[in-house]
Amino acid sequence: MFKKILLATHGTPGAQKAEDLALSWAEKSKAQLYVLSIINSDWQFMTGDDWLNTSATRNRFAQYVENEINSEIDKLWDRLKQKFNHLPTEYIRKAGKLEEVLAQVAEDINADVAIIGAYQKKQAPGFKARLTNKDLHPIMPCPLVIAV
Amino acid sequence: MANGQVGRPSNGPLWIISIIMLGYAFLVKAGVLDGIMHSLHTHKSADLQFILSIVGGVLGVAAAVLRQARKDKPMTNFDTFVLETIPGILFILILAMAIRWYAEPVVKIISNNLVPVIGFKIHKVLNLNYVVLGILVGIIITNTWGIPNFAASGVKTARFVLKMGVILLGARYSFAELAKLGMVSVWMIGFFVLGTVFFVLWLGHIFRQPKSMTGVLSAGMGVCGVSATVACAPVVRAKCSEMAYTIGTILGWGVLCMFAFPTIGKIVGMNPTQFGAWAGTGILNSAQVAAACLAFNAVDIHTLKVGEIFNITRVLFLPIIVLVLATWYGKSEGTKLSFKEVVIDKFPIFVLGFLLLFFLSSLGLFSPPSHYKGKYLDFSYNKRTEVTAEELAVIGEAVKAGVPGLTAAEKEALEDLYKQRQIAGDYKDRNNKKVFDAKARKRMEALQSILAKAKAKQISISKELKSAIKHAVKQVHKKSKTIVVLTDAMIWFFAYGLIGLGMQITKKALAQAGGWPLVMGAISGTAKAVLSFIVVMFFVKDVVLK
Repeated sequence: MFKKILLATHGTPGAQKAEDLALSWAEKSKAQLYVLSIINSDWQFMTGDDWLNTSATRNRFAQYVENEINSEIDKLWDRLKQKFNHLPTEYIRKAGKLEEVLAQVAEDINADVAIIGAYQKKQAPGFKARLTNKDLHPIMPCPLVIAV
Repeated sequence: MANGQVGRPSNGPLWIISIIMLGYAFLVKAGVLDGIMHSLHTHKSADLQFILSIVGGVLGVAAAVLRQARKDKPMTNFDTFVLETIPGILFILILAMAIRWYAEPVVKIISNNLVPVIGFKIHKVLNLNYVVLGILVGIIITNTWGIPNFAASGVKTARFVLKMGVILLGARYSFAELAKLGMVSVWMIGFFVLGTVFFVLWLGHIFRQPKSMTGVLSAGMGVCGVSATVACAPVVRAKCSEMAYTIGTILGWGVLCMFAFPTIGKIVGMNPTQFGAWAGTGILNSAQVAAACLAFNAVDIHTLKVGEIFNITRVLFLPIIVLVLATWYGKSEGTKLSFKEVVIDKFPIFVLGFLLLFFLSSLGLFSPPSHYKGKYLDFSYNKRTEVTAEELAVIGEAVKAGVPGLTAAEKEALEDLYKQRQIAGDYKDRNNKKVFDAKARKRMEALQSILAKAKAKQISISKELKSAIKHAVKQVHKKSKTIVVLTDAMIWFFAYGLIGLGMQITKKALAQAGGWPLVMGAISGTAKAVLSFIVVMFFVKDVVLK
């Protein structure tokens, strides 16, 4: 059915439904699974109106945030590696605008389908950012499945 | 973290800005805009409008030519720090000019014309001066079209320029002012900074929140907003979600205060000292304090002076708070940080610039040191200190008719003003400077006393006479040209810096506000604003500066 499945997840309860769906489809069709973690480019605006700190302090903050995000992704991947241990899985980490990165990676790997979690009324704790259909749909090069 | 993309964007926008600036300079010089300038009451700044436009235009053309020549060459430091920043610098400059000379006067005229309809001056209530308009324009640009690529590098210079504004402000304080205000600010800031930090830590304990979150929130709410969060986050090992929630909360609260404080201050009738003290204590971010003070009063920098002293005192608390939090957090988590990492790296170096300018100024580098104590008065006989012929006629009539209610000294001072056409000592004493100055000072004080009596409605004098006496007093106050230039530059630096600051306030960052940080931030922020308001209203009554 599918040869390449792209799963975009940040590990929240909504995204975990996408993980389950991707797992089940990958098992059924023996597809190659790609797990995508996106580092939101909006973090670059998160120094807000700070003007007191020196560039060294701001750089240290940026480095710290980057390390923290990477360690959160590492934790997520550790969990997924156990979950998908019987499947051929590739892990991809990219930074940028959510919609653009998702579409670009789908194109790069020539994905047959991309799976993401459904819109959650109440967001799980974490960086508040959502994919917008208006921005995502026109640029997706493959079918997009929303897991509910 | 960068704001926006930075590369070597196209030269087109820079050419357009440069041509607009040069064209504007030409129109100003040719007098084409005289009519508009007069109707907007900006004609007095025509020279400055020409100079800024021509300098900006020429700089833009030179940068565009150099950028074109270096287009395919590898980026050097000169490209990164000079050539690539110029388009953004000119972008903010052109915005500042448009706001200062067009948007602000137009808003004022519209607001005045709306008085018969709505019954009040909307620009006064909302403090819509160039500072507030500049921040609003910055916020609108960044949240709609976004900072254009060509301007991204230059916009970052706003932080540096704001610091330059504070440094230049250092030249406007006297030892007496700094000592007096410094003491008040140390007490108030010490109490409220440490109080808020411990209050948030206590709230975190009550609501059973992680130490990393309460640590980063306490610094932001207590010391200086997002800056403190940025400085403290690595120290208390804050998690990403905690940082996002905290930054969103602090940014939102700070922006709310920046707009609300000046309006509240005016409604309750705060004087400049009270407002500066309240803004300097209650508003989180140091740049927002400057913005609120300039929004409260953009012409007289009295409020800004008071606010900035409180501000600088608070900034000096930052390394202390980082040290406190590092110790507090490190004790339980077993992490150790070096003194350099905690204190030296966090010390705001620009404060040294402020102090340097203050000392240079106090040593008389820019004007005689006594200038600030009100002693720098020119009582010598000269044309410059004379009142006008019309004013002299008004004074003559008053002397002839007599002004009921004056003391003998006041009457004599008025007669002397008519006789000499200016405030001065007796001509015969001109070689004895001490006697000459003492007599002149006595006469000036008597004339000021007449003005005070008229203000208190103890005597009744005509508007023309009041204006003539005021002019005579004003004429003997000698202003240092250097100080005037420094002050003008400082006002422009603040205008420029605050437009850039507005561009850092994104709705994406604001939208992060939430969770427990929002609850705890709202409680502690309100408590600090209300308590500092009460303290200021009850204990900071005097106008400290003269």
